[in-house]
Amino acid sequence: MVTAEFGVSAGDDWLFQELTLDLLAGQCLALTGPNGTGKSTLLHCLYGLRPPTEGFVTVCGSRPDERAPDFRRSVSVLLDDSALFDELSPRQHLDLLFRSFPGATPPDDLVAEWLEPAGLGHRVDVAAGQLSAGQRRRLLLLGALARPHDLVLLDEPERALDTAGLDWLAGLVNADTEEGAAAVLATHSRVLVEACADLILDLG
Amino acid sequence: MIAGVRSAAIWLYQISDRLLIGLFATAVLTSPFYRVTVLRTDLLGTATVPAAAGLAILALGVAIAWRSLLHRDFTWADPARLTWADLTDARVGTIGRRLWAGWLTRFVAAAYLAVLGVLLLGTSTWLPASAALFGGVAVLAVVLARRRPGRVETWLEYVVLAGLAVLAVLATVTTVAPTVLWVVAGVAVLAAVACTKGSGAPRRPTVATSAGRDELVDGYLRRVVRRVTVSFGDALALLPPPGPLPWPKLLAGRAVVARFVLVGVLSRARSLLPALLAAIAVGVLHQVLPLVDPVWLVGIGVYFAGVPFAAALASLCAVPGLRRWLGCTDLTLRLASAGMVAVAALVWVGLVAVFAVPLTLAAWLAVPLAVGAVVRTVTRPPLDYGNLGVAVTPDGNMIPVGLLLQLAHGPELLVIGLLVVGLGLALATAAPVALALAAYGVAR
Repeated sequence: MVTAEFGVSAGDDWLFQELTLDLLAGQCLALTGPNGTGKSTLLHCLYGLRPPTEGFVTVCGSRPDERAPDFRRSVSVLLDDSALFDELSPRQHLDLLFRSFPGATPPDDLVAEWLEPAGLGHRVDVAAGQLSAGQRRRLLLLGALARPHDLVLLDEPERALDTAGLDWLAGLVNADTEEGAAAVLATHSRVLVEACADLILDLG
Repeated sequence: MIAGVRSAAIWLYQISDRLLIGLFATAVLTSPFYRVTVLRTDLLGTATVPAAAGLAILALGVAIAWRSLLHRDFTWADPARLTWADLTDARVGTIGRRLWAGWLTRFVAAAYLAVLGVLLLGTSTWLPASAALFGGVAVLAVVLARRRPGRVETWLEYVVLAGLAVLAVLATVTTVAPTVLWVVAGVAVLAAVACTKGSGAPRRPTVATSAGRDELVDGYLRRVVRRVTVSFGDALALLPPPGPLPWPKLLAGRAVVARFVLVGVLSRARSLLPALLAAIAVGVLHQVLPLVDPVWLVGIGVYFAGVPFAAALASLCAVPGLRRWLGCTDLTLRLASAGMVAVAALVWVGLVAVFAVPLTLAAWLAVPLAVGAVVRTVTRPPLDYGNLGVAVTPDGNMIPVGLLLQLAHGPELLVIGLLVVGLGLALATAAPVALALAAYGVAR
């Protein structure tokens, strides 16, 4: 799913160099390390937002390029710039997701299958602009994980989640990899690493 | 003595830029008064204009001033000041002063426009009644602006706006008796007197004393957006923000992309009002400036009325994180948005036709051109402020050519198309060019 041998510099310094990645379908890679060690940058390289300074990166058989619709359909992300339509409710967000992505099948009961497990069952028709930070985060995570994809990239997905939310997220990621998708998480959560990671890359 | 001269020199140096701009603006604004005959010939030629054309301009100007003031963009406070230096009651006085300055600026501008209209188009017999109307509405505006906005105030704002719009249209198509203007002015003054209760003490308007921190900070953030927009000319930042809709299953069905584009329009229903005002303005302008080719009026009118109808597409292009919620191709999105803008444009053109604007074939060609230009404008890449491309002219002025080129992405297609269509070329030549430009605007 991901094959890479690359390095990225920031100014005169290298964030990482001669890094080799080989991630297979169904595996989960956790990126760990203190702030500023290049976890988000690595995710950006895998999504084609930033070219590596040296070496190569291959994702789903091609050079990552988030401008290409086929690539965007294969690779799902939760990055710092992920956003919600403030005027749309969680139900409307998922309607949009399931009905616009090729290959996605709208579930018989959207609320029971996705929103209630996410803890949004009582906020189904509330505009996203009125949700709490944790509820918005859960909806963003659904946006990344509920639609069809081969690889999911999650940047600090644990942010704003409570303990129950972390358990829910771990279950969601594990279900995703069991269905054959690969996952890369940049995280500071030991709980998430222990629950989900098949491989750990410490950039510290 | 020397110190005094030095201080004066420093003061002159510091104000020189503002002084120069002020002098230049004064010269530009007063020049029409010295060239009335020439301007009248240029704008009207030998055509006759409706007897109350000046009144139409006045009503339109007052309507715009009314609408602009009652956005209440004077209600703001810097969050830093609120955090560190808000230990007195000074913010009430500050907001009150801003309110008066905003009111004065807007209605002086409307008065200038009205006087210019009367001079060029001539409706002196309406002058006293028109002045009374102007005064009545201006007084009601400031009284209403001082009150805390509520349901009654909102209704009154729309009623007055609709009344002024109707008056502007009536003035272009029929005779409006001065008595009507006196009556309207009287009603406005009476309404102002009735609204005085609840508007607060003279220096402590209710809108200022009742404004909380959240409201002031929201106003500040909107102001920052406006200032950036004005500084860099990026009008897309001013597109109205969406509001929630009461139909939870609006996106649960086939053709979800079209539904999404429709939701983008419905959630910004407030933008329908400027589109309506634009239609009335075009109707009035055609009557009072008969030499201006309707092709330009229709093209520019559809463009400005149509941009808010493509706001959903604009938000997707501006925020990559939102685009990830839709799995369709960019072309599908563009086509769906173009379809929505086209439907809105057809309704808008129908409205303009009611105001007797002649819809020639060339004017119809301006519609797809404007639709293409709208789609091209809202799908413009985010402005790259690092690429201002400053060029220095021979006389030493600096022009941000790179920024201007970025801003022209969209409008340039409209201007080129309208030039082609408006040149009077044979339809067999103009139509394919216009349609090709429109298709290019939608697809690229």
